[in-house]
Amino acid sequence: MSESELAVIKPEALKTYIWLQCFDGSIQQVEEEVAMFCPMICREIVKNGTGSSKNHAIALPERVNPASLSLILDYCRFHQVTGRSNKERKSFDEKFVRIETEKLCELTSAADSLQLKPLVDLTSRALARIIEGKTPEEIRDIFHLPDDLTEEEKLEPLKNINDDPRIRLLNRLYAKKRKELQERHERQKLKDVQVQKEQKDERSLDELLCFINGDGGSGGRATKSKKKNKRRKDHAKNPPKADSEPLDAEGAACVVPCKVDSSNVSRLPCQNPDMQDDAEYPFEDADLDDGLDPAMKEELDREVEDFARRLNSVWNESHIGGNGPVQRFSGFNHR
Amino acid sequence: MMHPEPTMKRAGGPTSAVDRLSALPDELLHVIVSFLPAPLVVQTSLLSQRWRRLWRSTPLIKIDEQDFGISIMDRASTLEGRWAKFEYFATNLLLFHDNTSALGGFRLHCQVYNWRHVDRWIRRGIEYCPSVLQIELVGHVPGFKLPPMLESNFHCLKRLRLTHIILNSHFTGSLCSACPVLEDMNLSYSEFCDICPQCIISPKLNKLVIEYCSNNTRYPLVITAPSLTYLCLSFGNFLAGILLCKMDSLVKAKISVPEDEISEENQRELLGSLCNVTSLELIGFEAEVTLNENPDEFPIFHNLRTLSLHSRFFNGYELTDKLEALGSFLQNAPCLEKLSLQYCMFYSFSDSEWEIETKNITLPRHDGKILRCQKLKLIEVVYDHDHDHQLIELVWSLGRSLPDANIKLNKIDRFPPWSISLCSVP
Repeated sequence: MSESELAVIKPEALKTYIWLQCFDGSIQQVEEEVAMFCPMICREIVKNGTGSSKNHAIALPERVNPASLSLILDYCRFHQVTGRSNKERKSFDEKFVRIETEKLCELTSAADSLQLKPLVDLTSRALARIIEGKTPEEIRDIFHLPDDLTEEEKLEPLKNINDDPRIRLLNRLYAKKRKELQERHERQKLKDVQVQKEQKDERSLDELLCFINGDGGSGGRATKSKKKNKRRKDHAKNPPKADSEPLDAEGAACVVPCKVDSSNVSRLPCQNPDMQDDAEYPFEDADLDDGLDPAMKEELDREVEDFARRLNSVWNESHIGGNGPVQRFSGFNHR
Repeated sequence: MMHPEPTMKRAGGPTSAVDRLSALPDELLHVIVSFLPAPLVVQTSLLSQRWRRLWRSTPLIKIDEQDFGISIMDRASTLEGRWAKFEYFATNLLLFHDNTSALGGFRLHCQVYNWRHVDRWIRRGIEYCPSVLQIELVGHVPGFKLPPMLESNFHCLKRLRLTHIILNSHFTGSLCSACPVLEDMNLSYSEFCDICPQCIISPKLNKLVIEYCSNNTRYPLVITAPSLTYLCLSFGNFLAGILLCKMDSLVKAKISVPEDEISEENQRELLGSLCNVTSLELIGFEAEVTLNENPDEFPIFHNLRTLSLHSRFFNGYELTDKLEALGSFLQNAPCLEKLSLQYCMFYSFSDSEWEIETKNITLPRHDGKILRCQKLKLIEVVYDHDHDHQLIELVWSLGRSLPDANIKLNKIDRFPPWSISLCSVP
């Protein structure tokens, strides 16, 4: 870039300066080539012609406070020089992000509003490095995050999302409940042809299954329910159900594997490999919102939430004991 | 892992402890967590209310078996347990994701321990219409066949990278043309399998890299990419070669041909389709390609400014003949400014057994003609060993044939030995 080369040999007096104004009103001037490194400032200069004098200073976005601005300008001042080696730049970057986490956050925000993507990536990476390897408590401590999750929201499963039997139980129960509601709903409404047709086929298969198995097992349902219920973890089912479910679980054992394991296509508990090749399998997640009106959804969610809360208390007790439901469901972990 | 900054103290009142992190907009938080491995991203939901749903809407879904301690070296017994956890996580991660219509990126890196699982993830990931799709299968996998996919899922696809995939004609035929904004495609260790002509036709493709792929059918791979500016082909095994059509926009090309892999005719054809490039890097092409009696057959590289020849001209011709071959190439590149000869023109062995100690060198009087290449100002010769003083002969001959050019010598180890650090005793 011949511009920057010229800038280096230009004596101070001949440099052009750009005026920048922060949201709080403070104005500062900076060398043009440094300011031009920021896409947003560059655009302002080129398109709108602002920044050439104190009265026509470029108004910077709100998220850019003076402290961040000076850091950003330091960054730009270093990197806009073309002669530097990659090693030098990397070394500068590493030292650059060794600042207080609070300032780092503000810097990220400011860099983002100035559209300086390399700096956004750099600061984000630094923040990610801070987050990595720490427990949630430590992270909350460092960043002063409010500890505003309720106890059941801090479910263990998220830490060990891979092997919690509670999730599996919830999945199954929710699927069963949803199926019941859906059947009820079905009997009341007429369906839309295109999408529902696919679902209808599914349902008939599942209904058959239900009839055969004699309980609420359904393969395809589970995947829908997982996607559908965003608040699944802290929703519960009706309290009365809670007691009967654990007993029911064992009976429905044969269906559990496919619940967690099921894909869009496999609706039967014995995963039929042929179905995998079905080219027109329904994209279930896309049409989850039909068939249930909001009121029913709410009811469903509330039930599941209730159940989850109860389940947590049951689990906590039994965990201390070490026996009980945990043992019971261990068999379902194998697929 | 950074330690908490020493200046941060647990502040007493709420006013001095401001949560600046949560004040960042969602997009920025997504950028931050995109640098974290997927299990950690999910765990951020435990931080606070602000973070509870964030992981579900991240634009980037990364599924990497290495996050679960799985490597290709694992034995079957450990692999089974770890895979079960990995699968459960990956399946649920995909299911819980909010944005199902335009995902920023989907990256999968795993071995094919269970075909069905991997197939499911790929289907789901593609269903979400990603802008960046990266499927990297590792391990001793012969090749994974992509599931049948809807073309509508590719309307956002900008960058595609596939490793160890079996590409059928459905992929090359319909998918490539169904990607209206595809700019960057990278295919590695993949196999083109169908017994029919396979064409990659992509109107907007900018950058194409095909590395170590194979095509054992007798049909060539035809690439038509009028917007292509960068092409990198590392030949694996293409029985019928690769045809490049309409490479009008091509600026930079790097073609690597392992020994005896492609017929001379194919090599010449390839060179012919590259005649518009500005920068060309050829690895492994043989001398015969340019040493032709009929100079009209060899294409003229009108725009070529930088030429790099690597591992070339190894056959048993005399140095003068090799220079003549080089010369005929240079003659057809009138604008050439820089020529780089890397590990070229002579064999060199580092094995000391072969070292013949030559005490006297006799440089032949230069009988060959001076090569015409007016703009060529710099010739860079990269070598790793010089035995038999072949380097000196080469440089001498180059100097005589191209008197206007500066010659720069660089000794760079081609296969750097593993360095063993020795403690020095003071």
